[in-house]
Amino acid sequence: MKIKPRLLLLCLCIAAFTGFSGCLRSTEISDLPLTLGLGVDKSDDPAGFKIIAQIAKPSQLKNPASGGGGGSSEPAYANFESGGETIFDAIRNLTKMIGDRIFASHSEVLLFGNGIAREGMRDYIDFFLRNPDVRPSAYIIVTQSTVKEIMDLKPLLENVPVTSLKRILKTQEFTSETAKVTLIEFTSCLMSKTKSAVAPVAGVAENGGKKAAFISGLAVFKNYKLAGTFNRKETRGLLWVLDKIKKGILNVPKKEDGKKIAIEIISSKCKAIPEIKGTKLRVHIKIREQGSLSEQPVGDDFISLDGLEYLKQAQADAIKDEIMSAFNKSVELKTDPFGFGELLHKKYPKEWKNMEQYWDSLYPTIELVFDIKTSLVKTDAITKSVSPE
Amino acid sequence: MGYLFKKIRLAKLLNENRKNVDLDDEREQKLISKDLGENIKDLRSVIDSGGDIVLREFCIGNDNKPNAAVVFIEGLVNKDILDASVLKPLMFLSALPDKSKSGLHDIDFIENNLLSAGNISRFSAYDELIDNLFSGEIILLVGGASEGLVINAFDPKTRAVEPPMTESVVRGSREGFTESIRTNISLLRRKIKNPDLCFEKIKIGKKSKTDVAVAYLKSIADPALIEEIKKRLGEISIDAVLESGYIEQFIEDAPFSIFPTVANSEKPDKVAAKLLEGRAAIFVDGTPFVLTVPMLFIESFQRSEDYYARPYYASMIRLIRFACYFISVLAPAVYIALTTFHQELIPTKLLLTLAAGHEQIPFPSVIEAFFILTVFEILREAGITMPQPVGSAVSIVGALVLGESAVTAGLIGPFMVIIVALTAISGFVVTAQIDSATVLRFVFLILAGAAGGFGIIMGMLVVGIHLASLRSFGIPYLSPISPFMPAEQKDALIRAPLRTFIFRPTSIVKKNITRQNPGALRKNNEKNPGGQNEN
Amino acid sequence: MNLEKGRITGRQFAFLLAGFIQGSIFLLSFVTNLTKHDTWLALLAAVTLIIPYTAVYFTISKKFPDKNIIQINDEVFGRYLGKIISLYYIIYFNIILSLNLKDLGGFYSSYLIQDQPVDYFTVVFIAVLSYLLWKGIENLARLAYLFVGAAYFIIVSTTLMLMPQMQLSNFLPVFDVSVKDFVKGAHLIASLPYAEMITFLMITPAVNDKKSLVKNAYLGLSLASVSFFIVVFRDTAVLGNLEPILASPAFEAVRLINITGIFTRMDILIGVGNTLLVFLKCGVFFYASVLSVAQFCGLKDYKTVIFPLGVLSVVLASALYESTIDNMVVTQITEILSTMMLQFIIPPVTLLVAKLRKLPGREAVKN
Repeated sequence: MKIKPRLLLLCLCIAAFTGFSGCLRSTEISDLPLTLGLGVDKSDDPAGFKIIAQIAKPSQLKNPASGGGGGSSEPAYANFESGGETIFDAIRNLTKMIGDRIFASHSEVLLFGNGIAREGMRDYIDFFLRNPDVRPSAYIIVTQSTVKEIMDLKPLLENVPVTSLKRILKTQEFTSETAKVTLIEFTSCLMSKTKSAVAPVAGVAENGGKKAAFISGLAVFKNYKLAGTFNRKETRGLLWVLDKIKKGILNVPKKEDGKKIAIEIISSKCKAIPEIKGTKLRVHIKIREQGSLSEQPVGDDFISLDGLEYLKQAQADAIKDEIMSAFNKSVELKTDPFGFGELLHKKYPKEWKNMEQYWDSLYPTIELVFDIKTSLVKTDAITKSVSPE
Repeated sequence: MGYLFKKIRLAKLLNENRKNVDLDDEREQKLISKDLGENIKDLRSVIDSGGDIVLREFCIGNDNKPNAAVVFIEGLVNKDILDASVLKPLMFLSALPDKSKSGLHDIDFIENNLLSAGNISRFSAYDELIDNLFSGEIILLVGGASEGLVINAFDPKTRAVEPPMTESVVRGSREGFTESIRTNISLLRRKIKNPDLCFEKIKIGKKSKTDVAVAYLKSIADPALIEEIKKRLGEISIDAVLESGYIEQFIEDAPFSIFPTVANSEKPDKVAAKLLEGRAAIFVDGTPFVLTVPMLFIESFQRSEDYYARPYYASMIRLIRFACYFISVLAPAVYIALTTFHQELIPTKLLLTLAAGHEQIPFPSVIEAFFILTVFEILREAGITMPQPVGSAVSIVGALVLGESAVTAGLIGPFMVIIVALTAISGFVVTAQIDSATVLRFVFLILAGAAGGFGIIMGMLVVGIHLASLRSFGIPYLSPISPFMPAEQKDALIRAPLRTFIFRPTSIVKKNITRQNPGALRKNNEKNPGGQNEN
Repeated sequence: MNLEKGRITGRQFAFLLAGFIQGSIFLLSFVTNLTKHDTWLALLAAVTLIIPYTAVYFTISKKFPDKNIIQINDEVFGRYLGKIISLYYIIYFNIILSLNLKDLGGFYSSYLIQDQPVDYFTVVFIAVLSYLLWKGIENLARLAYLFVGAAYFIIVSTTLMLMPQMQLSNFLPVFDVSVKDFVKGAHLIASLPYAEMITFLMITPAVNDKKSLVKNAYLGLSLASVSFFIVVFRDTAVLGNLEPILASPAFEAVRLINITGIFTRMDILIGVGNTLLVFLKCGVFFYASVLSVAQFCGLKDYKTVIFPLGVLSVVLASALYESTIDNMVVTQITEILSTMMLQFIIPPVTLLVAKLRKLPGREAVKN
């Protein structure tokens, strides 16, 4: 007789489990607006910004060749723009156009327009970090001009503009002239009192009559606001100190005529150690670099002890030059992208308390002390230069 | 809950059968008469009811009036034994002059001097007569004797020993049990030639009187286990036992669980191995499936070939088997949970491909999965029950028409077909758990459809707790995984080299646990003086 | 009168305890926003604080091997005071159970299945827990090592996968927080996951191996603490100065995993691990509250109170606090005061009184 209530309870449980869940968010993947990238740009709205979402059209992605008519098939993406009083408001306003809430978990790239960056990221970054849909590992990119220009530009190889941007970012390590910056790294810098946030810069270039997007250099922020940009050389200089160099080409001049020799960076290790000596601030920069001789002008042969010595020295000089130019630029922009302030904070927590408020004026007085050891470990496929014997 | 059901059912059964039980008691008390004619009169009613019963009256010695009778069932009895060892000696040899003197009607004389059949026993109760008659023995009734003789001449017409249908192997013994309990016992006896191996026979089924034998190794099996088995078998009170499945369902610990707690096998070598690990086997006449208890969950993942192959491959295959069980239970559910709830967990490129594949499908993924899984079950059932010649038609219709066309028509997605196919194939790897896997697959599908990953985890927790609470004849079903037994991990997820199997599984065996005696481990054996060097 | 007949071995007890403490591992955010990158120091302090207390807790149950804390209270403090103290325990068990339920529900509704009310998760969760209690807590004890193993697997594997993103300089400068925050944080860690082990005084009567109870408790404690250190290390090394503002640092850290673009999106691991551990933890709490209520009311079988208490805890869970922020503030301020007495003052007093009154009598000690 005891069975009946228990069976009833079981049925109740099952009913509750499935019934309650009627309001669960269960969406078929084909119905999801798969957002591959999000952009924030300036607009004439009173709020001053608009949001652009790039949404994939999976059926177009599947087989771009066999779709529709030959050649000019439909793009595999669609861009939607919307404004609002806050970012989230703008994103929800997209729903009116799209027909469902956008699904941002797969937006691996977040683009910020130049205007927005210049005005300050303060009001825009919170949403992206707070919203559980947006991944903290999404890449931040600042555009040279408008976001729309980049997001509307159909890439030549890929199907979707933002995917192509992500691919470019991933391969930045071959030049080390820009950097991948994730949302969480970016925010981490914004939360630091002294360290300046950086973000890669995307622009549009002519490429044989067609336009193509590229990413090069870094945008440097000061107090949420874009302070300026580092060019290739300055970027590399910054990356040396941040120990983010993977690969890249160092062009060093030949002694006699200044013709360039290409040395590929194979590996690099850097340590920046701050030091307080009296009233002087010093940062020791210790770099261990290995390169390979990858290209040289025909005729000259560096395969000798002297030649190697010269190349090593030239590498060290080039590295030092890059770092110095980056440092000078950062002084000029009144920023601290190297994070020297943080280094001091960590090593001298007590002294730091007094220094913190004067950091802007202390920063330019930092003396960089270099300890760069380079080596040339290989010469690739040929050992001698191409020259008649 | 199960216990209550059982109790109610038992009570009902007992109530209804009280009358029958009374009748049985009355008959049991009845003894056979000294008068042959009276006995035959009694038997008439039985004989008339079945056309296959033969009663042959004849004369022993030189009497002219029939003074003896044989009763047997045509077709069950070996005619050779009847003619040459029973009728001939009784009718001819008894007539020899020197033998005619000593009382011909003396049943001792007949048994000891005349009958040349091998297996003879006596009876005095009428009930025994009937039992033996229907077991296919020859009944000899002699006028003037208060006892009758049973001459064993049972000759069941069974098929020969053939490779088992369900557990085919690449390496190892190819013989399988048959429908005859005698053959089956002899097959097992050939594997373990030792007086340790004993069989205890009982008859179960009020109408069918089916022979059931409990086999175990006296020196290894836990006496408490044997007692428990006999107790549970004794409690069975049904009409007929047509297959060992009947016995299984009456003796299992958790009749309402979806997991089987009694194992079965068709292979003598497998049953022998289980007996050597301290288990008991239950043979049932009329089926090649022999039950073994207690059953552990991991037994479902062990095959006899694991022990015949070398350990590396055997271990790898066993791990794959575990994986297959999880795939067959969870694959559709996980797919549904990922594609309808946790899309952020799918890599972007894969997600785009999946989205493109699902674009034209008019149904939600859950319905789609439910549909294909049901179709698969239908196909499977049809494939089994369908006559052989039609079988190929089913596979063509199933694979081509349903699968191919449904995808091209855009009714179901190609990915779902892949998932279900994988699920189905994986399910067949672990044959012992096919039924539990099938049920769980649907349950988890519903859970995943209702609450995604949360539903799956909750479901797994319930199943896990259920498994942990299950027992098979007192042994925790999940042992040696839970409770964890370090020594037995050698034969759980992996199969260690046989050399390292020094002890029997201690989760089952309580005494005499040593099974190997390599010199290096002599010390261990001293600790267990009961240990014998068995294999 | 011993309600639970299930038997738990010493080793199972250790793992159950380990898993129980680990239950709070992925929700450490309540301390990280106080102690920032020095959380590991606070953890160290907490563990040091809890080591003697572990001995105190389990010496009590060693003294009264067949009694749970409700029975011990009756014996040590007498009928009336004992009942009052028991009531305190019962309320504690129930409230902590509801808090944990709500935490899990909150975790699900904010990360894994959004838009779903928290109550849905707590209801389903308590239903599964009821099934567990119906079958007996010893089933959970037998599975506990699998839970702990799974948790360790998840913790260690994610830590290895995050290795490239770790920056040891995030730990510098050492001890950069105010002493007040540090003490607060250390006390929070000691009281929240660790001292909650007082709940095990309801379970110890079912443990086989009474002699090595304290030893096994230390085994469990160290198992849990090692994983705590790994998680705190990983989170701080990966997240740096961002850690204090995140609602669930463990979850965010794991979301950053990216190994050659293939091993990404490992969040589900944390989801699974968290669910398993919280399940274990809530199982122990639910068992403790159900058994203690049954004991308090003098019932013979605790099964009758499973359903009412289940309903009660669901209701409590939705009524206790409105949001996680509420909870965080409440936890940091009031919880401490209310639980401090129970966790850190009453147990030593119990032991002391028992000693003074020469309890238990000689016959009891022999058993």
